[in-house]
Amino acid sequence: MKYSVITSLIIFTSLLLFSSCNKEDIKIARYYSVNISLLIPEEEAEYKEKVEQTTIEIVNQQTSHKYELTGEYYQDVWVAEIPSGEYNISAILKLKEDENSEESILSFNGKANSVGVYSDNKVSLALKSVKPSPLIFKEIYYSMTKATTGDQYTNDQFYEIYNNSKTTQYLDNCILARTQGAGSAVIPCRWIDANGEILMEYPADSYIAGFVGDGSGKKFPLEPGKSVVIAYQAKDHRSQINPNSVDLSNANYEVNISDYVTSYANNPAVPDMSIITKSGDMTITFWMLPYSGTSAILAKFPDNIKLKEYAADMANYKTIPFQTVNTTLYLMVPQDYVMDGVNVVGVDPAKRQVQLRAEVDAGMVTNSAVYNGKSIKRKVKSVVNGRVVYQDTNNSSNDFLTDQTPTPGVDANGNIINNIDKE
Amino acid sequence: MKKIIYISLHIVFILMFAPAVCSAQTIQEKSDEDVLKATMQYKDYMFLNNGAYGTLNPTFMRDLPLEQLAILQVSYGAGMGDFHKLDKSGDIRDLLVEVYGVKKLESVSFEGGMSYRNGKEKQRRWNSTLYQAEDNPFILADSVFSNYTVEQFTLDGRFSWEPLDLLRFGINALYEVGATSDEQDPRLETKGMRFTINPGIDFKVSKHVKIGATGGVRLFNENSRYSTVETAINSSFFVMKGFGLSLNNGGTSYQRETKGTAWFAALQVYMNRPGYTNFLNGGIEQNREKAIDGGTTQQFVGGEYRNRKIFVNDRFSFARSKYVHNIEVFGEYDKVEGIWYDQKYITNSSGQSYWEPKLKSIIYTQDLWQAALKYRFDVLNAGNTPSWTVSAGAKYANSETKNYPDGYKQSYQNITANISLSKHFSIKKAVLSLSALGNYMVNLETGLHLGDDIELKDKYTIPLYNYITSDSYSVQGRIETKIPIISKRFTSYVGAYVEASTQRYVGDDNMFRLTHFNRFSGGVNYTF
Repeated sequence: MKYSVITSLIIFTSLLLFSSCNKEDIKIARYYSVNISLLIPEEEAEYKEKVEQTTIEIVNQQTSHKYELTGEYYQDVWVAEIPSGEYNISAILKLKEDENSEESILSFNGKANSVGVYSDNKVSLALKSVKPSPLIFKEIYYSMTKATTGDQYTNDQFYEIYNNSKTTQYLDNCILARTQGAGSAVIPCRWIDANGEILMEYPADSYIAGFVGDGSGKKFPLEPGKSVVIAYQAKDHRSQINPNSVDLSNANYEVNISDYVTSYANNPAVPDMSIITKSGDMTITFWMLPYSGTSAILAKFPDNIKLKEYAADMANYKTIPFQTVNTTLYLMVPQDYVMDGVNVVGVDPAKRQVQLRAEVDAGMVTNSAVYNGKSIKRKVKSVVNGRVVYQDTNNSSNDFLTDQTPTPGVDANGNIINNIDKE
Repeated sequence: MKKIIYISLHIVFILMFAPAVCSAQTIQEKSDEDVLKATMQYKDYMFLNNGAYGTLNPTFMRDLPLEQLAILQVSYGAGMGDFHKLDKSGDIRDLLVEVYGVKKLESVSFEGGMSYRNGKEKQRRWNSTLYQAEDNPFILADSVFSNYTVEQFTLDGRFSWEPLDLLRFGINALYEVGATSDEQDPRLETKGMRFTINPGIDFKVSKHVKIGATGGVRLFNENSRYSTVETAINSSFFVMKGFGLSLNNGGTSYQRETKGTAWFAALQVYMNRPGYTNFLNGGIEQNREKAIDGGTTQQFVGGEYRNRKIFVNDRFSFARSKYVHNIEVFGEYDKVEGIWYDQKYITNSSGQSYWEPKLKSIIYTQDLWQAALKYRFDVLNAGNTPSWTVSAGAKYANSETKNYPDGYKQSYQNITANISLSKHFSIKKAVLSLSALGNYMVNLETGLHLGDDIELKDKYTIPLYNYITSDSYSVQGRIETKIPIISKRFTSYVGAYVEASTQRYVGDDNMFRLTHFNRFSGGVNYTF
């Protein structure tokens, strides 16, 4: 009897201790409701009826897990049921196309970054209309290659700028730049205001190349369906150094930075882009994008602004906001001047830094690996009388194809399109 | 670590070999053939003559029937085959050096040992851990097959002090340290340590009944560090969250430190009457492990594991003439919780960046019920050591694992039956032991519900589950001999054994069909 009592006592005491162990109240993970309100500007409210596709993308910053709400209609409020976490929420409202779709509003974009979902929550997306940009990035080659020796080869990058409109465009007063902040560095972007919103101007970093005109505004014409290829070094990189690389001997321009990189091999047969200035800390020994990604912008300044004068005015420079340590100055490019911009990000999902506002690029794009010799190319929207019209919804996630074989100066139909008169 | 090992070796040699020298002299004085046989078959002898053998409470070590013992053993083993858990190696080599000793003095008893393992684990992936709890879902892993070198060192010791006939005190300590590494990108180096200490007490409440209690702490620390020589290539480091859900961190390096603390307590009731004994042991354990990634900067919580366990076991033993019967029952309930921290990346005004935990919630639970029943029958020879041993038993396990908030679920119920037979031959003064063991595991019920959004579902989650729920059988055979070396002043024994086993899959799963895992080991030992 005594033995049984002792036994029971042991078991009872154990259970008591066991049940009292968990004093901290941690709840089981669950889904939370997020009410997403879409706010179209009042003056453009009539376009609500023209919405043919609404896509709301909700991306977890930690896991990159994507949730999507879609509908072939417009509604003011959408409700998402998602797990807790920190999210980037973006919306694209695609409008019904009409004859003038190359000129009128194509869609509405909006984005809210770092939306914390730790309880039921509400978020409003202020949507901006997207009008087609006449000048766009058709292709960007930034991943670079490795030589057969295994060495990294970084001299074969290029941009291709394309006239996506029906009329001749002029590259005068256009600049090409990368924004400050490599994709592997800090998330989110440092160039934010007190509310955490990305600034309405962008910090240009490193060499800024441009088309400095003669004042006429028509020195650099680009016909519809034509492109210019801007190479870091205009030569056939395959035959000379690296068979895995790309032939850029047909490039229209190159960016001569021999003042900084003494080993730079200039091709005298190909005109150099004008160097507007050297902004930022100048630690990068190549001109274009790092493989870890950063944003690229194509901006066209008004005719009354002279690029070099703008770059010489220190009032146009800023340091990284809210920092007292880093006092490096960067040339700021107003968003109103940006014709096209692409959030090129790194391979690592946890280190993808978005630097452009949703009005410029509501998405992001990356190749699957570094040094894989692949480019990002814009998708084809349509072909009008043999002229390729590329997709431009200001959302690079939708607009670009990744891991593409580079085809500088060749359109989606295989036509050579950069056969333009050189400067 | 080398310094710790060096100091530890000194302590062990002082604790063990000093009494061992005494023991040799004592045996010489007794010159008792029964003691010789008992020493040669010390494991069986200690089991049969101490109803509390194997308990965590160190005080019961005082009841060990041998006065002194010291053993040095060197063994080598190998295992090979395709029937193994996804994150284990299918090609293992192990060199193991062990020493173990017991010494009883007038009112104090000592027991302890140490071991060193040097192993090779080829073609292993999906796990970087060494001492982390097996059921902790927060694993850091890579998907590249690598050949690992594993070194592990253990040091354990306990003593039991009996100041009064009614009362005994004891302390048990176990120190484990190890490292594993590979030389192929991404290169993993894991260094781990576990230290367990638990004092104990028992009290004689009546002539035949003792009540004991022990409680202690187990400290755990493990550092895993991935690095790459080819820095232009990004590697994927998977921060696992259970069910194959993971964060895929690409890069050229990744670092994690996991720290843990476990508290445990157990109560014992030991009844020792003429003709029979009964040992009842019940206890609880709470274990927590928390992973912090990123080194000293940009720290990221990689998950927190909690396990609460309650267990009870009873051993009833009775003897009739030269026949000894042992009936053991065991039951355990484990509750595992995996807590995930939602974190936000913040950059402050000084430009410092860090992850700030915003919410923690339970994303993983496992309930595991286990029960076992075992019967052992020994036929003793004249020296009270077993001549024949037969045992049979069965173990039941019921597990249900859930993920939140997605509701993924896996469950299984299985039963493992086992039977063993041993025969010990006395050939002059030597002993030859032959043993055979068979196991059969059959799953009574299995269930798996997963979503399509688990990226590693086909590569990790399902193969891991298929192994856990596979029906299999295994057979094992062992031959061991101990030959005494008797001199005028010193009696010692040289022993050797070889052991071989095979485990074979018996189901239809394409992944494991016709697969097996074979093991072989052999060793020599020296007892004195």
